[in-house]
Amino acid sequence: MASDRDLWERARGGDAEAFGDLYERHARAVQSYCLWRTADLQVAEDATATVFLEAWRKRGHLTLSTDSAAPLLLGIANNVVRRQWRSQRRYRDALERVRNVGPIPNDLEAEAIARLDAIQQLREGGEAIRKLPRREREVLALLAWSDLSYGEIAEALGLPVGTVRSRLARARTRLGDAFPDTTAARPAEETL
Amino acid sequence: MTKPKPDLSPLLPDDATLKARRSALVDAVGPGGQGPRPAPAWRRRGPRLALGGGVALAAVAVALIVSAGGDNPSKAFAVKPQKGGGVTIKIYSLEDASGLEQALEEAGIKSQVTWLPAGKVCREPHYKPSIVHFPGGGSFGGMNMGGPGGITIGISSTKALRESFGQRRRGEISADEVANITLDPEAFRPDQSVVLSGTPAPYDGDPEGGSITKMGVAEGPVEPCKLVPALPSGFGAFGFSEGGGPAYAPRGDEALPQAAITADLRQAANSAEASDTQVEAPPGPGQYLYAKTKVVQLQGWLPKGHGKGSKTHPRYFVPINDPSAHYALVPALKEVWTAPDGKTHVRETLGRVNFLSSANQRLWDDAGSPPPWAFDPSEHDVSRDGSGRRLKDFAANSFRGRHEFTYMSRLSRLPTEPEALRLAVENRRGGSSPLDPSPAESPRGGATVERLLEILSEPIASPALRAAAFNALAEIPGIGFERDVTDGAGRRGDAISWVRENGFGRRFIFDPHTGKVLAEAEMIFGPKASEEYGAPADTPYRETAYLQAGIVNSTHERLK
Repeated sequence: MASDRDLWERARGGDAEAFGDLYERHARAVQSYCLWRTADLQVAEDATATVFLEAWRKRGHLTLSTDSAAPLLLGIANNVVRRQWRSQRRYRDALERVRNVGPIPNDLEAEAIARLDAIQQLREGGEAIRKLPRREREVLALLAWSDLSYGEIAEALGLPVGTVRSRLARARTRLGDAFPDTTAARPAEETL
Repeated sequence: MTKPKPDLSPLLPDDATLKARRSALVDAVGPGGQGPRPAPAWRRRGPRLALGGGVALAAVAVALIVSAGGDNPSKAFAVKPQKGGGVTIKIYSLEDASGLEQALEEAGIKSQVTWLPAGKVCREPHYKPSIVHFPGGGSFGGMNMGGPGGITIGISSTKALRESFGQRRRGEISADEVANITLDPEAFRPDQSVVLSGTPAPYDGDPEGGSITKMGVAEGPVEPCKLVPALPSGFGAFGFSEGGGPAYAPRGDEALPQAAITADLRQAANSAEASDTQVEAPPGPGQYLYAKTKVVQLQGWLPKGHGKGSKTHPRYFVPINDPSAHYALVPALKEVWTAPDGKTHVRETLGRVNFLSSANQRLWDDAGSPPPWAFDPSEHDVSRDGSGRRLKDFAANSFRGRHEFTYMSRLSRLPTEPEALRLAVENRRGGSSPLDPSPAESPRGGATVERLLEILSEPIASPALRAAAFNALAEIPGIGFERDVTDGAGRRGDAISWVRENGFGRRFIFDPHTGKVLAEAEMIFGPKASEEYGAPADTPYRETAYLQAGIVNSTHERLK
């Protein structure tokens, strides 16, 4: 299986199929993150597509400094969520095309109920983080809702690792018991 | 320390959707992304046809193709063994239906496969729909798929499927190796079989660039497929509110023969065809969609001393479910300016409150004409206009939010051929249930009528689309038709109406000379509702009369 680096290099050279592979690999992670940030399915779906369109447009200027494309894409996601409308307007036509694709569920009600439940949980689960000041919110959101390490978060947000740590410490003080569980499914690296 | 993270999976795309979106993305960014479009990527790769979309119920049906190589593009489909037992069948082109039936049979699944010419689907129902229950939970009743790409059917035991799904989740198997749907022969009863049909469909400017495929589960015998026109592409994302209901019955002039109703609706279609479009396109940057309506609501007034709610701010106007209330029709002029991002500016101006009885009108006047709650200055920011009418301005979001205009532009892409339009709105829920177009006998039919009427109510609907909607309505038997009724703005027209068992119903009033919907109303029709609320039959309890719609350049601008 080609690495993210290979795929990204091919995408930078204009290979749309390689870029498609990256999409398949990371779209769910990006969408999960956007869901957490926005707690709105339609907004998150549009934001996800926007992230990839933005990545494609800027591919010439962006290099992967990690083995995974996730920090790069989640960094873009962070900006897209922050400037939702402005980013999406640029890609209106393309978004329309991506949005129209998809299945018709056989059981709309069951699906709708499952979605409502999940949205409800999202809203409750992310409430504390969404109330934080922006800088702390962005760092903590990436820590809580993506599988990025501290180093990768720093990469995604273009910050030194030390700044990531200090912002997290401030968020921890502010949130107290409401500080989210960030221990799950995390590689060992971030204990550095 | 904290609650575990919620499961987001209902909010994430399934594999088939992910693949479909990937292909749309690749098309959007690829060489044809700007300017002329190349053929879809799947076609350039050789294999021809049919992309998968939806897996419906709990048994998220995903499987693996063991060997990625060795495909023979010259064949209509390829059968490959799977690692954990079973096979996958990858369909490349909509040919050799009997060969595919045989391959499915050999793998343990009885089937009827029908490949249809472009623009056709099987008329439903041609079999009795059924549901397969998988061992250990989950079920499958069918699915529709649309878009570019190639469908892959997996056939394996549910156990093997779950194991491979685990590998997939752990990243041991790439997403390329995933089937669109996996069937477990053990889960099928002897009388159950799969019904598969597919047709090429327009995709990305190419009339046969994509496909629509449909898989159902049948119980007992399957009738041969009878061809009818197909759905338009992009139909999957089209949403209307659910309508109809089991207790739904047409209401109207019973003396009117069906032929007369049909003739009137055809005439309305001709008028619609010859009329103009109110709004040609959604607003661009800096523009607003301006819509003016008159909304009339039935409200109850409680004389002084009988107010409801808090002691300091009692409410004297209540919804119509209070037997001690005096009923009045409360009209308001509602103007809405909607920006391209779905944000709206709303102005509501209160009209003259009309009590159903003149005695109550006097009682209310003598009490100092207290305003309805929505215009009560102690509750809301209410001012007065030059004529002394109470009004309020506020910002809101369109109920369809930022998708308002996406919705509208989708509307403009609906087919303008009546049968295709009817199927497009009728098959919205997946088309896997029997279809009965009669509103008198089925909730589906009722929903179809309601959706066609909603299309007619949209200001952006083109003359051709409105004509198609009227012609589609003309084909539906048992519609309730009322001649010469008056809307909340005093305009006369004909109406399509129905009533539910509880005595409440809906009425869409249209102008037979222009084919435009004048108003839609939720009505008190039957004695049951009428007795319960003490309001005479034929009273609207909420009516929206459409007065004007068009594009303007500011939230102060109105239409001439």
